[in-house]
Amino acid sequence: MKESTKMLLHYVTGFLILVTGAIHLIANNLERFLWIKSTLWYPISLGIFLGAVLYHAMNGLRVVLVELFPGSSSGKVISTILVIVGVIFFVSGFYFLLVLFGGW
Amino acid sequence: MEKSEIRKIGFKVFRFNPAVDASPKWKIYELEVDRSLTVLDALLRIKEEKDPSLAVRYSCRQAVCGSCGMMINGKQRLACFTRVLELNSKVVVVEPLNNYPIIRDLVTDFSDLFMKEKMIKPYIIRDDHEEMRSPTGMYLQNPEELLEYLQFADCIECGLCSSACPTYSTDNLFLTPMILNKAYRISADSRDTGLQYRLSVIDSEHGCWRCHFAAACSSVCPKGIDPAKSIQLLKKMITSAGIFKRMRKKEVQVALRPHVTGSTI
Repeated sequence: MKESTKMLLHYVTGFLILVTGAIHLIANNLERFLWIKSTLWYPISLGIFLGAVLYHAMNGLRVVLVELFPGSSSGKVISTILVIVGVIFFVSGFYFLLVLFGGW
Repeated sequence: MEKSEIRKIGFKVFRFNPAVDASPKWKIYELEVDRSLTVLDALLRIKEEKDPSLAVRYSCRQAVCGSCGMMINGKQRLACFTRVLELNSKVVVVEPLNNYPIIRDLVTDFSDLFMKEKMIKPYIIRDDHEEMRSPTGMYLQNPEELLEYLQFADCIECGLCSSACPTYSTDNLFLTPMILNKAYRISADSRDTGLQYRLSVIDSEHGCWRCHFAAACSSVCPKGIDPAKSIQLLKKMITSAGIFKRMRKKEVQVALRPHVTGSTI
């Protein structure tokens, strides 16, 4: 993936975190909006939130590490490790969402 | 007539010869300076009258060549462009620029920057090879097209911006503000159609996306260029090229000049 694509996704997921994070906060704290939690959109927004946070965090970590440890081979190692960690966290998080909202 | 102010100022100069010295040291020289004396003048006077072994790189003495960049009182400056008394300090601390290997004393090694500059192909690239080989005239450019990149073309490649860059201080593979500014200047030129040939370098892991917009580069530029801005514009150009496939500019007209003959081969 080109670096520009990775960074564009970084900015897009940053925006998604704002939006879905806001939905999560509002739905859990404001009485007028508690009904959101009983809609299908809520778990969907949580799924998007999970994916966005993980991508944003892992890519952010990648950027920091790639600067601290410059080199083409170290860059590949860092990216591979972070992708694996990110996928593991996403799968676990998605499983919990299915248990909470899907009745698994 | 106003009496010229003369003051005794101390110059604390970094001295290090890697071939001979185990570690750097500081040497202090005292000079009487007046208000017209620049730091470069002072260093050359030190060389002439007190210590001929001091290594200093300089050339034009008028802030157009970029050779005399150094740290003066903790900030990247051109020595020829910095008046001693305007620094308002009794002791002026002079050191080599940050982020570059030291050749000797105040002279630093720019070969990493020159190598990176070659990688970005810092010249106009066009697809009309026949016209490039056997020119019939000149490429036209209107004032608006010129203004797109003119500010960034003033760069004298002094390296002060790259010295100030916090990213370059940790990531020695980063292209640096000076090189990215050059990449934008060439790519934004309406006569150039070569952005695609530069992308593999600019749009890479250590390319323009490692700029975090600290803007330390713009704050030290002696020519008033804004390299931080040119890097953000470069990011915009790359994103546009990637998403909207907006790479090719409109066709540039050639103004025929019958007296232009010959071949570039």
